[in-house]
Amino acid sequence: MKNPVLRKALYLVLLSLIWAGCASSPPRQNDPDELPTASQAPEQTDSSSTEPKEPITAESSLLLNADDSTKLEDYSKAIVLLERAIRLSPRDPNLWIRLSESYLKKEEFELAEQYARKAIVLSRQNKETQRRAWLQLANVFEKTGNTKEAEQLRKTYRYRTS
Amino acid sequence: MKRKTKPQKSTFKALALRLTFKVVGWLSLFIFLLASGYAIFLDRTITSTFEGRKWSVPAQIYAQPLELHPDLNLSESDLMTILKRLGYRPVDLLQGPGTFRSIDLGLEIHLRAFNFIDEARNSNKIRVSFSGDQLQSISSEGRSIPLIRLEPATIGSFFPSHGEDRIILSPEQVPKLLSEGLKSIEDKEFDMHQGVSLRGIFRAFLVNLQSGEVRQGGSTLTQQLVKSYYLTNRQTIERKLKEVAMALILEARFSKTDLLTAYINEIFLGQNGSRAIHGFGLGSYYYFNKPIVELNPSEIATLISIIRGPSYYNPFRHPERALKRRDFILERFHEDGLITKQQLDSSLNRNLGVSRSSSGIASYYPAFLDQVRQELASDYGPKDLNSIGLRIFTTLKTRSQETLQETVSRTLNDIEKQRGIPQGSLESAAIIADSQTGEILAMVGGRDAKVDGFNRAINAFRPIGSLIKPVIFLSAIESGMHLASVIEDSPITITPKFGEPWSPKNFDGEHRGELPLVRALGQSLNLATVRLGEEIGLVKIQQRYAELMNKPAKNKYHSFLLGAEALAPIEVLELYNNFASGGFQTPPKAVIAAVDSSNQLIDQRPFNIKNSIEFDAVNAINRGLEVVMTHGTGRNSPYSKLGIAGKTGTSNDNRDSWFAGFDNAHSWIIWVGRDDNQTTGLTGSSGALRIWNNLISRQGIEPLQHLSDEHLVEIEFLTGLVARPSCANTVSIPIAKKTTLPVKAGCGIKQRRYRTRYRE
Repeated sequence: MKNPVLRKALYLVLLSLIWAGCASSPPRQNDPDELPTASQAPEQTDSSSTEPKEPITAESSLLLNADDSTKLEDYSKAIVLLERAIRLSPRDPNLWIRLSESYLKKEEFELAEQYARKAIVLSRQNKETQRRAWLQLANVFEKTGNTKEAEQLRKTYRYRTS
Repeated sequence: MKRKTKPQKSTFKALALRLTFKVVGWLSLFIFLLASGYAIFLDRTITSTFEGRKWSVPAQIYAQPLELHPDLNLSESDLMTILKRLGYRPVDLLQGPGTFRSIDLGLEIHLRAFNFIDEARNSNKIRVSFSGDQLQSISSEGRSIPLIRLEPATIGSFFPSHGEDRIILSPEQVPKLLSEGLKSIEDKEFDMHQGVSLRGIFRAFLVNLQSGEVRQGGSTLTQQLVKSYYLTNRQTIERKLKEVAMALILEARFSKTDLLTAYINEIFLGQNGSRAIHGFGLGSYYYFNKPIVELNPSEIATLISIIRGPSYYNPFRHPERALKRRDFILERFHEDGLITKQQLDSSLNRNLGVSRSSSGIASYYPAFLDQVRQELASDYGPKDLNSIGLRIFTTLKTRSQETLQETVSRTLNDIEKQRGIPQGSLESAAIIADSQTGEILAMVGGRDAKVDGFNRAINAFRPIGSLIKPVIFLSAIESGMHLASVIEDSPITITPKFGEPWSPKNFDGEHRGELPLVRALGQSLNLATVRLGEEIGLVKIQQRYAELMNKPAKNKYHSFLLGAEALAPIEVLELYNNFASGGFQTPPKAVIAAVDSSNQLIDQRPFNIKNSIEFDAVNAINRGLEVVMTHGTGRNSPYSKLGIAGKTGTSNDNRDSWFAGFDNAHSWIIWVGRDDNQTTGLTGSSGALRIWNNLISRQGIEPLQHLSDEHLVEIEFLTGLVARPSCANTVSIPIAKKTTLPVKAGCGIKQRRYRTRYRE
């Protein structure tokens, strides 16, 4: 907080880490897949005195804060932030995947499962996001002892696309 | 004789004397005991009341904060209106938190500090620029920011112990000018007296005698406090004695600070419809639409002036009287050294500055607050609710709420005028919710917002008529049928084991023969629906209904198939959210979280969703509900073709008019009917749907984005034959199962039998 440049750089590195995995997915409206990719991040840091070329969106700024909270294991706060993001973009499957992850960390398995299922439905037009949603469901299954189904889902969705 | 009589007389006298003594003695003892008992009773009553009120700090209830971010559909004038409603003042130069000014291409705002659920935000200057009706960018200290919130409107507060709403101020929150000013105007000897002030009474008598009008009262603040707790305004000796006794007791038991703070939180300052405005915290919002700390000396004087006669000195209704009294009070402030000469002069030059704001704490959302209260009562123990300084964050969007309320009131007036229905006989309830999370954005419980009465959105259980039909069609699709499956729309009589035979009719008494499911749903055909219901089985359908609603159907008879099932609007919302959300139970909710005074989350209420319908089935039903709007009973709405799914409903004899619908982001439930359950002459589309039309003309819609475009087939709406838009009135429906369909002749589709192109 004290050094704004440092904090901004930290944000951008985090941002690029988070979305590095989905950089290849097809772009879609309201889809954080469209966020600045790793290659754009350093440019922003260099030109921190001027307006960034690819500004951080409302949703992604909340996701970054949610990441901070997750690192501090403050999952309740992460959930508050993710819910805030969902109020802004209720049909963004990425946000529901993130919400599922937070509830999984809190070991609230029932909701974690439902949010993953919600993400699966909402991402029907985006196979790559849907693949991640299925894999999140697999994570939930694994944690609830449903290892066979988790394995099955991972087999189906890990290597299928992208 | 004399001798004899004398001692007799003296004995008699002595006897009488002794008897008198005895009687008087006993009587005094009795009176003493009675008085002591009464004193103890008074002591107990006043002490417990005082302590009860002193220590039960109410829960504050907040609406959703407005999230500002680039690309938000919000014009500069919209934002100015919103800021003013939150009590922000337009100024030429920012003068601290709670002010804003126009700058090139936008506004500069000094945001107030606020403790949100997820962060304690400091007060902060931001610049917001606009491009047309869109917010373009936000910056703070030259850096652009992606997202920032205005603080939420306070929409009420619950007093856990006695249910009233007010804004409680702690001694530290009371401006010095208010506490000192109150003493100066209402009770000069407050710091000295023991509850009653003879000097005060004498002085008031003199002042009033001199001025020829009642300018001062003789009651101390403590007496006024007692009066406002219990007593009526009737001037009787008994009442006065009781008041004095209680004042003495309070003074003996509590500190002056406690008493003054209680007074500031308790005193009656006006009436807003059915809602009493108690306390300066709420009064400040009601009259000036801003928190007490932001009041200037002139405004504090105006509030104090109201105490003497909340209706006589009502600054809205009698501005001249209020102004005269305010000036008198300001001069007294100056005489007593509370304000400088300069402050006096500038204050005297100000106008009253009262603002009839339609939002913020001064406006009142009784229906929504009911829902909040209900959720709190079912989820929290009394201990939690009584925890001091609880803050409740809710889902209400005040702008949506106001638009919905105005639309409901205006549309009912219009309908009554146009149809010659007695004025004021129609009633309504309406809810807007987020279709994906179930969060209630607006709730109207009746046509008159000001009346805190019967909340129809939660408590009016009315037959839902055709709104039940999607459940039957869902069961049909889940049993292997599709929207092009053919069903017969022809007379049917059902003879139950017990009871009368039942022969339902279509709304127009006609029947239409064989037709596809999508048309039966679209045109809301009763005969086809009942036949379909019979084919699938009432038990199976009711089982499905119970799964979607988490509770069983009340009506176990076949009339259930046509919606002879009484539900409250909020329950209908729960039913339709299964569809609107894309197949998830998404129960309506109003409370987001509760936070205690140290800003710790004590309860977080998740989006409580649960997968309830397989995607292919819900996708088919939702397409069917879109056809209702484009080709069926909703087609006359000017917005029916913009990408809306919906269903109209009418109960027997046109007693209830319903509309349920959803777009990409919202679900709406609207009911119109009469409280005495008489016929209105309105159908779903001539009543409830009209309210929706008017609402959409003001709020717009977010067209449905289909989650899937797979397996779509064009069929003719009337016959269900595969066709092309160029040769027939067609609708697009998904048919997920591999199947063959008959083709319409003359459409240039070669195969006699159409096979969907879908392959596994």
